[in-house]
Amino acid sequence: MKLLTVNFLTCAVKTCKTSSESYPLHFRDAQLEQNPQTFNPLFIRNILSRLDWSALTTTANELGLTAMLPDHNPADDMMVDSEGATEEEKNRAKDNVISEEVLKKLHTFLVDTAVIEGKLVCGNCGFEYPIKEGVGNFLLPPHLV
Amino acid sequence: MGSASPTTGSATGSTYSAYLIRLTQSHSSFRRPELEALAIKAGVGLSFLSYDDNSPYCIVRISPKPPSDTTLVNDHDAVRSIVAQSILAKGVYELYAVAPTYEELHSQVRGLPAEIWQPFKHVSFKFLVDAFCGKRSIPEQREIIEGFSYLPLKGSISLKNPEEEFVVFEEWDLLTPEQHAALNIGTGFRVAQSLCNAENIAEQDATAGDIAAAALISDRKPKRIFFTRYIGPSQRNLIVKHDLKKRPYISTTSMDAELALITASLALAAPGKLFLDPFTGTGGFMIAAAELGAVVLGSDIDGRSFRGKGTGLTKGIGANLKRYKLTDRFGDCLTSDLTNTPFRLRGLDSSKSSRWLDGIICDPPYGIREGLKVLGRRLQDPDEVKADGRVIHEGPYYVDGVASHTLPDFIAPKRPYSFDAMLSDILDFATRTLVDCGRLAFWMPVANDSDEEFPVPIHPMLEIRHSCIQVFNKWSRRLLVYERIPGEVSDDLAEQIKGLKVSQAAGRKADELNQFRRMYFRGFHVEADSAVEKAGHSPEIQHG
Repeated sequence: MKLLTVNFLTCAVKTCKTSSESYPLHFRDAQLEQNPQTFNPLFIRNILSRLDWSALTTTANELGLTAMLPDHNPADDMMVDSEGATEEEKNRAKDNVISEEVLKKLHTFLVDTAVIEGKLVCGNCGFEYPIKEGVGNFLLPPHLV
Repeated sequence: MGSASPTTGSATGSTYSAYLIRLTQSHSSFRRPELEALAIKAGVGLSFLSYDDNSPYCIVRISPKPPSDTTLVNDHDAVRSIVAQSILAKGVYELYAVAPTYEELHSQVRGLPAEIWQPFKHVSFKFLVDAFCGKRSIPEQREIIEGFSYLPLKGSISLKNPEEEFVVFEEWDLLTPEQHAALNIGTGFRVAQSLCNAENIAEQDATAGDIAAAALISDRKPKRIFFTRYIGPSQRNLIVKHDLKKRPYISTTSMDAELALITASLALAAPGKLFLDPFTGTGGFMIAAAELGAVVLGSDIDGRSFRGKGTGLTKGIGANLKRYKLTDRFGDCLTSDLTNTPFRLRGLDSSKSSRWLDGIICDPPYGIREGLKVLGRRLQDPDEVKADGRVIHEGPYYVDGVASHTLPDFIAPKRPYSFDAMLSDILDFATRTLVDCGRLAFWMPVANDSDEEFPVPIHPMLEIRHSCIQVFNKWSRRLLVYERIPGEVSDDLAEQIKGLKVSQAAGRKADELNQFRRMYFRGFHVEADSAVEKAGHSPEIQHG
C-alpha cells in the first residue's frame, strides 16, 4: 500500500470516524518497499492540496522517513496572495514555484514507497487492519459494523 | 484575417467552419455525451448544428470560441483534439457543403471562395464515397467522384497514401417496412425454391415479386449529401487493444472494454487525476481510467476478485496492468466495503482535510449474478435483529479464548443489502470525496416496459449531467453521470439529505431487499407478479 493511499484512510468503524485519534492510522511491523514508477509531476501537483500534511508527517515519522518529506505542504506557499488570481494564474504560479526537485522527492515518498507487509492500527479503537503483499484488508467483524 | 483559410475557420460563419463527425451506430445514446465530455476536458466550446441518434453523421462547430490564451490555436486543432480522444467517433472531417441533392451540393461547392482549394492544389489526393443505409456500385461511385472534376486539384491521385482525402457522405433513409418486405421476397423465394423446386407457378409469382422489389429498392436515393475532407482520426482502436478476449484476467461480470472506456471518459478521466472504483471486481474500470491517463484506486468487498488466484495482485489485476503497460498509473487496491468505508469522508470524520477524488466510476452489484452484500452477520434469530436488519451481538466471538476476527483465516461475515440503500451510500460517499466539479459515473439496471418507475437517485450536491441507456431484451442498464456541485454540505443540508434517503427496504432475504432482482428472476411479468403472489404460485410455473 502506497504512503499516498494511507493519507486518504481512516478507521472503517463508524463510531471512530469522529474521533481525532482515528486519523491517521498508525503503522505497526511495517515492511517497506521501493517500487519506482514513472515520475508524474502533473499528478503530484494536482493532489498536493488534498493531502493532510500533519497526517503525512506522522506517517513519515513512524516509518523513519522524515527526511523524505518537506516540513510543510509546498502547495500552502501558493495560497498566499492568490485571492484575486484566476485559476489560470494559480496554476502557472504552481508550475513556477514548486520545483521539479521537490515534486520528485514527493513522488518518491507518496507513490514509489509502499508498505507490503504489516498492519495499520486505529488510535481510537485499537483495531488492526492487516496488509498482505501490498493489499490492505479493511473488512470489519460483525460486532464492529 | 483577410483571406479565409479553411484551416482556421471563418468568423463570418460560412459553412466551412463546420465539421462533420462520423460516429459509430453502436451505443447511440452515449455518443453525444461522450463528445460533450471531451469538449469540457479540452476546455473548448462545442455546439451541435445537427445531431440525431439514428444518424452516424453529426455536424458541430467550435463555439463559443476558446479564450485567446489557450494552446489550441484554431477550430481545426480544437475539433481534432476532441475527436482524437473519442471511442464512439470514427473520424472528423471538415465540412464544405451539405445538400439534399447533388445539383444543390455542387452549386454550393462552386460558390465557395477559391482560396479554400489553394492549399490542396498540388498535393496528392483521393476521393471516397461513403453511403449510410444505401449502396453505390463502383461505376456509380466513379460518376459521383467525377462530378467534382471542376475542383482545381492538380496533384496526383494516390489511393494508398494520399496527402488529402476528400469524402462524399450520403445519408439514405432507413428502409421502410415495404422496402424491407420487398427485400425479403427475394431471399424468401430462394429458400422456398430450394425446398420445392417443382412449383413453376410459384417461381413466376416470385419473379414478379422480385421485379417489384427491385423497383421499390431502386427508387431509393440519399436524403442528405455531405462534401468533406478528412482531418483526423478517433481512438476507436483502443477497443481492440482492450478487447476482453485478449485480456489476461477477467470474470463473468467484467464490463466490456468499449463501455468501460466510455464510462471513464464521461467521468472526465485524464492525466494527473485521481480515480476510484469502489466495486472494482477484476478492475475493468481501473484499466479504462488508467488508459485515459488517470491514477487509479480500487476497492472491493471481496479481495479475491482483484487478486485472482494469487495472494498479491500479480495474478489478478496486476497482470492486466502489466499487459497494457499501465502499472505506472496504478495507485492501490483495498479489500473494503463501501458502506463501512475506510476512506476519508469530508464532514464525517475528524480530519479537516479536503475532498480528494477527481472521479468515481463503478458498476455496483445488482444482486443478480454477483451478490449485493455489505459487512454484518446474516440474521438467524429474529429476536437478535435490530430495526435496520442488523444483528445485535455485543463484542467479538471467541474461539479457544482468541477473538475469531484476529485469526489469520478469518472471513468477515456479510449480509444481503438493499440496492436502493447501496445507491444512496454511493451518492453520499461521492459527495464527501469528490472535489468540486469532480464526477461520479455508475451503472444501474432498469426493467423495460415496467409499470414501476425506477427513479434516478438524486442528491442536492450532485447534478445529473448525463443519463445513457443500453437496452437488452427484457431489461436495460443506465449509465448515470453526476457532477459534484461546488461547496460543502451544511448541517441544514445534511438534515435534508437524511429526509431524502431512500428508506431501507424491509426484509432480510436478497429478494425482499432488491426490487430489480425480484423482477429479474420473475421474468419481468409485472402484472402477473402481483396476481401470482396472491395465488401463492411461482410465476415461472405459470408462464412455462
